[in-house]
Amino acid sequence: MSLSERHVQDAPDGARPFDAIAIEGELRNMWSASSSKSSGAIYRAALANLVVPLDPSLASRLMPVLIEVTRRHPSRLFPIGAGGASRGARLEARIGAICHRRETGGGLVCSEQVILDSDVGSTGLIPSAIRSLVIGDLPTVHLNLHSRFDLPWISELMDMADLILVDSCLAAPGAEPEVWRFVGREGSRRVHDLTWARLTPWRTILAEVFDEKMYLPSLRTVRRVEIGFTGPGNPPPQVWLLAGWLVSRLGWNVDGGGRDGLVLRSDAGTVTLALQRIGKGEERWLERIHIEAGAPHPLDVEILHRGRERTARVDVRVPAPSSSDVPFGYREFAACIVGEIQRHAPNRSMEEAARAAEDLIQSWRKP
Amino acid sequence: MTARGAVAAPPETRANPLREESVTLRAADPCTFVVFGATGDLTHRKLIPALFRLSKQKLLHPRTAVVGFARRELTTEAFREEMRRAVEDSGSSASPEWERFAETLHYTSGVFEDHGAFRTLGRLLGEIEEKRGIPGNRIFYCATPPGAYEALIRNIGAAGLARRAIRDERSVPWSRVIIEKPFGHDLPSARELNALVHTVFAERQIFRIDHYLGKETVQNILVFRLGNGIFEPLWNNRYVEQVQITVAESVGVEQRAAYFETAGVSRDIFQNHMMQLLTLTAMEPPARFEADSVRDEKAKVLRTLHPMTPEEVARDTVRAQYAGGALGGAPVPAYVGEPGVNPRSQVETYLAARVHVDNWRWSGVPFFLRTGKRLPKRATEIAIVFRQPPFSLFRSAGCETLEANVLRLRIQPDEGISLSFGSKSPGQVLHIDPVQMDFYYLTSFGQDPPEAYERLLLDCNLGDSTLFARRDEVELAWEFVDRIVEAWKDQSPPLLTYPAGTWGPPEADELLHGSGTHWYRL
Repeated sequence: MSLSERHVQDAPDGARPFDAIAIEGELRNMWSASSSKSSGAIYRAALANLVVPLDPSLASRLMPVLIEVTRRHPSRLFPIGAGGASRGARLEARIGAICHRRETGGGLVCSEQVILDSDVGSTGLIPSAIRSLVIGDLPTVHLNLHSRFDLPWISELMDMADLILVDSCLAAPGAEPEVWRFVGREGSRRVHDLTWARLTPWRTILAEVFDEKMYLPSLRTVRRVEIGFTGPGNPPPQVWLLAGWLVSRLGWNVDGGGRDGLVLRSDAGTVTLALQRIGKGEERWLERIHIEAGAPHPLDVEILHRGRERTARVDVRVPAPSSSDVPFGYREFAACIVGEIQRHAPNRSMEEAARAAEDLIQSWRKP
Repeated sequence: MTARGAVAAPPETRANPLREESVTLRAADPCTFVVFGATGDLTHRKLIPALFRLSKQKLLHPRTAVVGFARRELTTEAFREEMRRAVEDSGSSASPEWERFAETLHYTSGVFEDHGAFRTLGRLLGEIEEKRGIPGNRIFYCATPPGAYEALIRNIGAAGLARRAIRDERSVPWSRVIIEKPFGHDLPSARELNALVHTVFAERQIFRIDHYLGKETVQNILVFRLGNGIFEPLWNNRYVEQVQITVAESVGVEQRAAYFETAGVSRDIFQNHMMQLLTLTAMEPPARFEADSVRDEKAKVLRTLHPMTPEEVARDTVRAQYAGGALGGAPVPAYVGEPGVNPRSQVETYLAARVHVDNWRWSGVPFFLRTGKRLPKRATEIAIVFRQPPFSLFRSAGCETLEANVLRLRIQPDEGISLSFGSKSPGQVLHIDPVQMDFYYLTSFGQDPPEAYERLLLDCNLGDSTLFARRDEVELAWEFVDRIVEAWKDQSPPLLTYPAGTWGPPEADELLHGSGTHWYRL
């Protein structure tokens, strides 16, 4: 077997019934075989155990993300496809490696992977299988790319994890607050919502706008905030989290729903929060924030960012028109995941934003 | 309804409530990098490749521009082509991002002493800034031989190209200057240069670059020491027997003979790279991890270096020059046979020294420093040698002496850290062998550390001077080195020779005589 660049290498005999001892033996054989046949150096690297329950409907889309995650943060990877194996198969496993050519040349850096599949009736065996294969002296990261996180086998996997990454964007519509409540229960040091990580460039730009001394007082006289999003249905979780962040950071109170949007109360008066679908795309992006502030510190500013663009447009109309493109720290999904793996601090800001977002959603739902 | 847990931002506060510690992405300001010496080796090998990689990673502001300035007449198009080749030579693939980056490159030729050329440069900067929407932020990079600094700085000031910071260094537009080491060639010249640069720039606008400080492994010295609970308690004279710092180069003087003839390794490496490694190893924990706190502590170490008397210089230093030899299986000439070197040169290409840090923490612990050209390999390492256990429990079993525990911080190559300790060899007889616990950047993180210049150029743009040398550091280091160089003028110790491709003269080994150890093999 040879390990080549950016290649997911499966063992030649494919999946077989799960046997932890055999798997460890196969991994050892794979490395010794690859080192004897390879023409260049191969570095076997691991900073963590990465346990990833994959939603069957998303597996093919998310595997490239996992490959990129291992490039940025080499790990022993456990992709888990529960319920995907044929009836009666119980628990199956196959091993492989994900290798990346070093940017500076001179060899491959490889992460091991053990792919687990189970039939529907055997999901309860998954945690014990993972427990027998994790590298004991490395941290275990549970990356939940499954739409459910309340399934018993997923809960059990989470219990053994040092760090849990969830994504409220993967939650069923309307179920986002459950993710945030989970973060609240377990603590934001151990559980991170990847949706929050995606908001970082938006929060950075908003903070930078008001770093300008001339605009800073306008935060006290905000009258209207519009957040525009793309994609079908209700506002996506990133919109709610950003709105919740503004509400919590600026000390606003939620007064209820109005015809034009949610009504909030600030020390200086009423603030209208309008969440608007703009554009007809299918992707659920946060695309635009428009903030208006009244006298005595009038301001009209709009921040626009589309898709994966590396810059955002900041248009100030009041008090003096100006327009500029500013760097937008857009990060691909894999970069967000690795950023969160490498963050080890509690995130009070997110917890507060999530609580405020939940209140906003409740007010939104009221007739 | 009230938003639960809402953080009430006092309306009268002047702080930005949206600015929170969790927002840690560092945003670069739009600025123009003005590179003096744009056709030179440093620009080709390091600066432009580093700027290109930063640009590729989107770490530079999209409106950033680069203006090259040098004596050679070139069109901007020719400069761009030359820089494209330089980027490819550095190992980066130039396309497809190259075209976009190339548009940011500009060139103007001129002599550093010609005031008119700087006025022309000023006009060009104005045009570029207007066209690209850069608010006048400028970084002047002196990538020239040190002899050009004076004219450069004077003309930057006289042509009004820089804006002196009054209070808030981050107020726009800002101006900064990066000056390559060596900063001066002795203490008086360093002071003179500092005084000159200060006529145009305030201290917080001056970034004295020593690329060693941009190396990830050098930064990791502090993380390793101060970010782990188990090492700092041992980091003192109670547990440490000695410290060895080696900066070995396999190359000779290459194209730098004219400069090296006036510098030697004492000025080229010892005064800067080695002093920086020494300060990071020996410094006290700073109050905060920010520029002035870190540099205060480094300066304190330099202040406590035991100033050597001429007698101590004769006893505790070894200087030598390489003779002909073989390196990597190929013959290499003696230093005096290198092109551009005076055949009767007395310049040292090797220096080893025993120095002492006279403070509470390090009293009695010798620091052995060595550096040289044409050594068998390129390697930089700090070895912390720990004391032996107070009682040799295993002597009765035939183990008379044990190897000392050694913590080795490998700066380059094979960046990493290893700790050696004794372990019982398998078998019926009690035999203790040294074994190692190893950490390699590559096998842990799966990637090599980034290039030092990338980090330093970005830090300068962000106004973070933590990894740059401050005025007092530079002057204190010169004060220490000047004493050694001054004492050498009396030929004591004499200039020795060593065959190229060896680890230096045997006399360097004798420095460690009586310490119970030897130079650790690299």
